[in-house]
Amino acid sequence: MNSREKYVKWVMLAPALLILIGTTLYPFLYSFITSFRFWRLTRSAEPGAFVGLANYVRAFGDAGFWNSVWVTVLFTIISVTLSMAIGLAIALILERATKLNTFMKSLLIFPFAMAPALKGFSWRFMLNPDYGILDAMIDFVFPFWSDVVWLGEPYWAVFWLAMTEIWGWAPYIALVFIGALGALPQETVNAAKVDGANTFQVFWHVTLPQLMPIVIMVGLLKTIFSVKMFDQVVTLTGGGPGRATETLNFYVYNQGFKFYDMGYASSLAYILVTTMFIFAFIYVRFLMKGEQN
Amino acid sequence: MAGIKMVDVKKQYPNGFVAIENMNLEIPDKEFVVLVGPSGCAKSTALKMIAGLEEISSGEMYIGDRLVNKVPPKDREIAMVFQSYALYPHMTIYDNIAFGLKMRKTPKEEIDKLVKEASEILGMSDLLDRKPRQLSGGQRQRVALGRAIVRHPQVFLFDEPLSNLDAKLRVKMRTELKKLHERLHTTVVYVTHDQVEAMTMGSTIVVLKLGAIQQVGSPLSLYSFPSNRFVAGFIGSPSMNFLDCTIAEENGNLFVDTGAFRLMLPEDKAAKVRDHGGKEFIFGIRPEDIRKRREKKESYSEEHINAKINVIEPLGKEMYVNLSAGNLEFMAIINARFPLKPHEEVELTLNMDRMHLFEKEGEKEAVAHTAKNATTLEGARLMADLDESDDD
Amino acid sequence: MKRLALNLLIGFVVVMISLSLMAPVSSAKLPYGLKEGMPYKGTKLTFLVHNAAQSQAQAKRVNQFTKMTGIEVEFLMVPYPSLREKITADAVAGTGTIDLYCFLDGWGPSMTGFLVPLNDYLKRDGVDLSAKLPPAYIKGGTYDGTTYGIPTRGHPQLLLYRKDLFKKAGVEVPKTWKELIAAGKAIKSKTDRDGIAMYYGKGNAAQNLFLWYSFLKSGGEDIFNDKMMPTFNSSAGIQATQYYVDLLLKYQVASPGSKFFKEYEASQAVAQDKAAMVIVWWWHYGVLTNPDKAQEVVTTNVGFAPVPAWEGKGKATLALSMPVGISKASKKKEAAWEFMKWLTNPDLEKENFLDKSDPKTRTIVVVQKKNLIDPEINKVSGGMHKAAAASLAVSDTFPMLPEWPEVASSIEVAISNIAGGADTKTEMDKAAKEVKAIMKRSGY
Ligand SMILES: Nc1ncnc2c1ncn2[C@@H]1O[C@H](COP(=O)(O)OP(=O)(O)OP(=O)(O)O)[C@@H](O)[C@H]1O
Ligand SMILES: [Mg+2]
Repeated sequence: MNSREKYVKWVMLAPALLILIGTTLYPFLYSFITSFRFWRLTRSAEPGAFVGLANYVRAFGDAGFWNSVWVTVLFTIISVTLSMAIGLAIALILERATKLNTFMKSLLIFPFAMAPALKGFSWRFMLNPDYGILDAMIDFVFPFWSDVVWLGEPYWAVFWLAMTEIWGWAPYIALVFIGALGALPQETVNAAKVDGANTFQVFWHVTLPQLMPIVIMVGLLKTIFSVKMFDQVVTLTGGGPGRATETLNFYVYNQGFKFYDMGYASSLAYILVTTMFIFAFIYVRFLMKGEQN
Repeated sequence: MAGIKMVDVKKQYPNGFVAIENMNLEIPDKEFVVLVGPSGCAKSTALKMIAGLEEISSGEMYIGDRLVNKVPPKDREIAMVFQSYALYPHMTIYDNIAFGLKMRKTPKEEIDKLVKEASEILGMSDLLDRKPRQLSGGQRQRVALGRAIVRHPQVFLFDEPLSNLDAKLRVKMRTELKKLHERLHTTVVYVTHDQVEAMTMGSTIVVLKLGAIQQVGSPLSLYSFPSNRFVAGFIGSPSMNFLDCTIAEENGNLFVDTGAFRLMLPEDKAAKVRDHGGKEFIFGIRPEDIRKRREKKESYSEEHINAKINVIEPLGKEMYVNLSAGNLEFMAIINARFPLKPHEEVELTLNMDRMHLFEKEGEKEAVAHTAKNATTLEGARLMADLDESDDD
Repeated sequence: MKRLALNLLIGFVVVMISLSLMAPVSSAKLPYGLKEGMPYKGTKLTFLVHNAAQSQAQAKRVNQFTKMTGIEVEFLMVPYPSLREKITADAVAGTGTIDLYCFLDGWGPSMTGFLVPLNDYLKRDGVDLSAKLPPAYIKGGTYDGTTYGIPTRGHPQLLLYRKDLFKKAGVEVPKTWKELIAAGKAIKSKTDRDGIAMYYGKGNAAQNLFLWYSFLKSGGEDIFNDKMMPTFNSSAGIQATQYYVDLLLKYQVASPGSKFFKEYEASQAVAQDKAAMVIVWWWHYGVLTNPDKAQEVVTTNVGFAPVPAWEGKGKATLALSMPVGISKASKKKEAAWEFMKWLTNPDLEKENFLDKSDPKTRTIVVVQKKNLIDPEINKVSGGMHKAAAASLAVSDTFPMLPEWPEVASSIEVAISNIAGGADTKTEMDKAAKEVKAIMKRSGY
């Protein structure tokens, strides 16, 4: 390639690069700078003075912030583990290619395709103690829970918040796992059977370890999505009861778009992003590497 | 220890393909049986059914006296070497070999002993810490073997276990497997598509074609008395020559008429086809039963033809010679001491005692050459030796 | 002489009439104080508003305005939950793409930076808002004495109840909280329905403060004192709060779901024939009488009454409005003001309300004093507007503060926790402490 061709290449790429910088890098840097400024939209539409680390310092003394960290961690752990476990279970059930399974598989995409905000709405509707179908079903199966107002109890509210997430994601994860399982060699499973392993042992010693790279990958993605989850908090619980379901992302949103404190919101967002980055880094570094050896 | 019995076994795959129509086979206890046949003839399918990895569509499968149609693989007490090795990619070689023992709750020290022993035999003691992807194809195959031989199952199932080894290692491993069989005295079902391997290893050989059993017998009986053209062509290398022919009668003698030459049938064979004058047959003769004509008379019924040499493939002691007579082409194995050259004319002797005639339709053997008084395998082998001895 | 004068007069009249016949359009005065001569002809305005039936009806008739002024208006309609975000995004971008915003009164103070003060316009055109609108609606568009918006949509609170269930239980429509509890108990025991559907749940708009505010204010307490420091955790405040949640916790006349309900779910509890009363924005009457949204037994039996109060104490309810204001970044402010004059005219409101051609427009309301007591409108609404006018006379808005959303969020959490069983005083003290910190941070 001569230098002229190189030059042409960059010219051709320039629009795409500019768009990329404009859409990702610019807001990223802008909010980084904002996180060191005083900027309350209630005072001015223009960013104010630089205040050093004040916004970050405030975060560490903010009980609401720490509460949202805890809620996010709790929500993430529940939603990630359960959506992966249930997704895997569905995948194992539907793995064999029968006509019924093919039909079931096509149904799996629906919950995932549903808009997250709508998930929250519909689950809130289903959990209504007056006319919610899910509430009625639970009351029927577990009469001793008939007095529980699901979204009125802090831990139950977190649980149901996680359920909306699981309901949407487990089927999708199942589809991913079905694909991965299909690509696994049937021969190793056969070998294990002949070697005397029962169904569970085959799964545990042979299928799962071979599935692990996908499991780890999906786990990482799901974790990121769980930490970022926002819509269902708004539509399912509004962060309540009390602050029981105020996730970090929701808290950041409120600080920014409800309370109009852009400087503080930016610093919280950066704490979130940095934590995610460190998490992802450690995860990729250790878990994925471990898989490779 | 147990034999295997298959009664009217049928295998239809979920996509509707019938791999095995109706298989009846009895493998006696402690026997070393080889399933042989061309690619796609359902050898692996048969093995998997014995292992319980493929369901039987209909019929009955017994291991020992036990009907195992519904018995899961883990309860069948079998060990299997898979055609594709099927090593556990995430386990070390040690763990791969030990897995079956662990599943059967063998004590740790014993596992260790057995694994070390097996890896010794397989010559891979220094590979135990590796993962399968760090091994060559042949090494992986040996791991697959090791995984089977550490166990003490009722039945060993080997699906082409040596296909990826180099010639030297293969010969060594054949011996090892035979020794293993003698030591453990376990029933072995061994699949291969290599007829040489089948001949050298099996005490009984089962020839399969398109999911149907063609013939069951000892290596030599299959070699000497193939029951149809397929077996005749499949067993023996280079394979038997087949020439279209008719039966002609002249002066009370019967002749095989190929168009290019006529060969007189010996008395005993003629008797079997006397009523078939004018009918079409396939004349079969192995390359090793065609020789360069010698001065002295042979000990068998001989016929002579002239042919032109096309190609010579020297192999050392002997050479494969491709010849043509008229528009017919065939192969002969000729002692290397004869100075033959391509395009020469040569005079040949055909051993008519060892010729075959197959019906054109159905390809069944019409006049199996009688093995004189050799009815047992030993006898046949002896005879072959005798035949061999007067070669030069 | 007399004759001459008469002739002259007749002649003058004839000339005038013929003149007016010759040029009927150019000389007819435009209504609502709109500028003559189409000075902004060809201007295109963009109006950001939530997609309520009211906005749709306005959009349907906007060509009337275009005909008179030559100004075109695009209604940019978004769902209510994303309205604030859209306004913020546009205002911060500052490009002037959007000329007018419709916003919630409570947001106003925090948005003054994005909005054009309207006082000069009002003065110039001689518009007297207090003649047009109930005080709470004017307050909703005003911050620190400056008007930033004029509402076309606003809501007083009404008690909506089931006449048939009240009859069956043998109780009268409650005028006090005490009566309400008694009625609720009677209904619960005699009709197997919950007495009242409350909404203590935490939402995104401090809905659980709507009724709390009525309890608090009619109980004689307020959220802030003059120095803008919290007073809602005073003993009167705690008593009012306690009483408010005790409808559920102690007296158990409220639906169990009240614990997490938002306003709409409380209204739905009545619509689905589960509860007999609900105190909500009046437009819910349109929902409860709509056969598509409520059961038939509900639609035919729902009645309305003013919000109850404490015995012997004052009345107080909350009013809410959605003012329309002009974006500071707009480059067509004068044209936008013309549009506002048209948009806030009582005729349009009346026409929209009376047009029942579309069943989806049941939730259209009126805000103009003139229309609230209009006989034609009251005939259609069965007198509800007169009741609303009475309610609006004693209504107030939430405190008009830039910090209000943050303050509301703290109290909202406290109410939600208290309804969930937490101690009232502890929670209110905690909320007051948070609010104090918020106010301190803002320099009060
Ligand atoms: N799961 C399956 N579904 C459908 N057809 C199959 C399936 N597995 C094998 N077959 C078919 O059954 C026939 C027998 O297959 P099998 O693997 O038993 O052959 P094989 O004798 O082992 O061949 P090779 O020597 O190549 O290993 C083939 O025609 C193959 O295409
Ligand atoms: Mg095979």
